[in-house]
Amino acid sequence: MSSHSKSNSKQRKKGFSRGEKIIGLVILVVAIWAVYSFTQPPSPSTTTTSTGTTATGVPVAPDFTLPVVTQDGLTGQRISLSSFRGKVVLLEFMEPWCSVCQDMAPMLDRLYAQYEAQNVVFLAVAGPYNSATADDAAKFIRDYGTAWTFVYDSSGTTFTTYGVSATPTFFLIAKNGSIDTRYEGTNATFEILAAGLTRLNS
Amino acid sequence: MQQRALAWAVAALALIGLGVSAFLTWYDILTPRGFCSLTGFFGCSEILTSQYSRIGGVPTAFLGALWFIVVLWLAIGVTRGEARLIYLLGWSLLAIPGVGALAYIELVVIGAICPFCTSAHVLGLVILVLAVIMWRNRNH
Repeated sequence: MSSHSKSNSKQRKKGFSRGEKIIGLVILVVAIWAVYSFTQPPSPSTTTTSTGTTATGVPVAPDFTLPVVTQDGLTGQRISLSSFRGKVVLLEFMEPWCSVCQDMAPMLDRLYAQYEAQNVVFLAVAGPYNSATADDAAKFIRDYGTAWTFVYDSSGTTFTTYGVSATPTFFLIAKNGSIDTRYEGTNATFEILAAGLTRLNS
Repeated sequence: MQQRALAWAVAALALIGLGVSAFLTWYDILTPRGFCSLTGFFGCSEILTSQYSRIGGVPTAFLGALWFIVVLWLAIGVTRGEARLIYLLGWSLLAIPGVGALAYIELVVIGAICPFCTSAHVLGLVILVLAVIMWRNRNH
């Protein structure tokens, strides 16, 4: 067998030419670099600050009337936001399937335990996005043992009225019915919400 | 001739899968953590904002893109020898546990369907089938 055919035979056995081995090595190096980059914490300049949007001169929070949902499903009752005028309201727009809403439920539970006795109203509006139903909201209530009032926005109209494009979105509503502050997602920490509720309720 | 056609098919599917996975990786990176977007497409926002969208901080879609890149690399020139075909087959077999786990998480755990994720899963399984066919045809 000639040396050339010996070389070809060897390559057939190994299956990779030198160029292909180099390409494979490049793929491996890029993959390792990318995985390393993904696992590094974000730089401080990209960390979102925990601030809300303070609305000044904002009119009364848009009223809505929606059906009440409990752990057993729709009750047949309906509740209006305006019925809570004179009280501070923590209004949450949520989706039962939203993992962030699920993760924040225990924090809200602690907040509710502290402020419910101070006549602060906690009202959650569950939405219909991604085909979420009232039964999904009921399951959320059962799964997370939430004690505050839930209503179901079957058409998403209330979400649209409030300009909600992500969940959870929180609105702190003053006793006169005006929107004080708006928070989205994990920007709404326990401390920030507590400080806002204390200020509005004083 | 048939082996060559199958190899080209595998390469083409890997390229498509790479494109889909790259798009999902880009979407995952752009999706801010900390809330669930309601303006995403189909059930993808629900899946891409779940805890399962990342493994150890690495987007799951990126791992899929890596899998497709390796398939593409192995498929090019696979007809040159049996060794390459063995590697391709072995690598393709990873699609079984990978797709199985991700499909279970998508459909059962999260309860949503992202067409892009599902298409990447289907591509992975088709590549596996083609790799098996190539292996069975290797001595013909």
